[in-house]
Amino acid sequence: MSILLNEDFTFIVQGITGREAVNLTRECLDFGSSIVGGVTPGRKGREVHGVPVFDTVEQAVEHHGKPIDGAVATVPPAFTKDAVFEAIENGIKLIVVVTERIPRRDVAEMVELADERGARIIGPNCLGLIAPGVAKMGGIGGPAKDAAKAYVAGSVGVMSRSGGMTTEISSTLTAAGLGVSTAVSIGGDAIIGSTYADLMPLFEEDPQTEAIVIYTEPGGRMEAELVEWREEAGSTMPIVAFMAGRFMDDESMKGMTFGHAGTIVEGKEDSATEKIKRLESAGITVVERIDEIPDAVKERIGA
Amino acid sequence: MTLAEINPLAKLSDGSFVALDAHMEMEDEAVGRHKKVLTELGVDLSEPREMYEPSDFERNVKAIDAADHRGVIQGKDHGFTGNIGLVIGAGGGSLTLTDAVRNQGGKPANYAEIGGNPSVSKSCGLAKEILQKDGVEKIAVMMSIVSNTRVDIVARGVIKACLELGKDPGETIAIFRIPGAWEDEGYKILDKYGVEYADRSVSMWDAAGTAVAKIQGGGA
Repeated sequence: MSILLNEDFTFIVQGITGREAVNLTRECLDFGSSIVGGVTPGRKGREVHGVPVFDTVEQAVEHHGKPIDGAVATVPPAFTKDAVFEAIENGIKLIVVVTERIPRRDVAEMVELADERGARIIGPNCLGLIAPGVAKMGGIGGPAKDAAKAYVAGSVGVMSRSGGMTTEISSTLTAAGLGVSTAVSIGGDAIIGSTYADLMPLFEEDPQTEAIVIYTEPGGRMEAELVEWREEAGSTMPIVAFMAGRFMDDESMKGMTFGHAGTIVEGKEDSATEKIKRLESAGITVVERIDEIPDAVKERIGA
Repeated sequence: MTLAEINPLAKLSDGSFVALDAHMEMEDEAVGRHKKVLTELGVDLSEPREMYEPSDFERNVKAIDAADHRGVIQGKDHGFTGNIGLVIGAGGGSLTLTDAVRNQGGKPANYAEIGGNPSVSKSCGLAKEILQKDGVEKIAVMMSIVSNTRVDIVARGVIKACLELGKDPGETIAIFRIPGAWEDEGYKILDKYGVEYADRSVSMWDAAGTAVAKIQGGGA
């Protein structure tokens, strides 16, 4: 099992004729994903690696003959909101937004509409998600043969604010024989569609997942929300967290921005030091090094 | 716009309101669609609105990045005073590696981010700028596992930087740890120039430790 994806999961790629989208389509198909269409206005009738291209999402759904489960949006920032709205209006329930540098107001509107319609957004500014041996949705892990090296099916769910670090952490879990149930690159922006706390209930329900690893950074309230959710839900699923960007707490680094758009320390509460304290107080193991993660997970699950 | 703090707000005798002072914050991503109001407010759109004056290093890296559209490079040295030149990359990878260097007693000379798939000249330009900083003799070239960035292209770029500055790549590059796309091709080039490299079986922490030990002596 996995979360969000399964063997029958179908999706489209919005902006499929763009250079990066063409690569992403190849990678996903090679990994076993079922891409049933692509959308680029004005390009109807073309094919990208055998995937038919349409002008609109509606045409893609009509061609498929039944509802499509997901969409990967890889369109320029100024048009992303419209693309996501179009996907939601056409009944799509899971939308991976790859695009970065989308104005924050647009993201807020996208997330709001998704909430109203019972759809879920992953991202923006993310690499998507991968269920080893099942499918991948987005550029996560790169070409299928590279993705297969880092991601082998196993018992650990991964959520990460960094796309690249999703693969680094998963590779470490794979090398240690633990493997990955589903890995989600949740995105590095200040506002994202699915936070740790939003995805935790899905991992809780997944019989394959025995523990969670999160990659986190200074900035924002997402870690605090995870702690609140854990306490409210009475969840005891083991979580191991890695916090990057501890150096940003230094006095000499005040006011500087590093890494992702959402990695901005706006108050004492969202510094690395405070976040680590809060995570640990909720029984979450916080490690200093990526290579300490597998042992920390094994200790928590008693393997 | 992410914040508008208006204080004081004055009520005129005709019942209308006037903001006497305000503090506003806008994310870079939204600037494009608010050009009119920003111009009216007297904000120079070409001016980088940082909290501090950019250094020559920061300006030069920005110019190299702007010169060619492939990939992204960023460099910062405000607040960094050490001697370990960091040619590091990806948002999360750079944060992780900077911590790993510092937590093992290393003193970075700079912070950097390589993203996407930069050209040889871009990687070369970044490495050259770092190597020309005062006190920097050696660089550590490190990233988390890459899928978009090509290992061989970064390898060629950093080796070219050493050669153009009349330095021996094998001596100057303390460690090269970028696993992932096109790694076999990259390792071949590194072998040829006698550069010490590590694959994914060597953790980011250990690669950073090697850099600290080779550049500062002792270290971890």
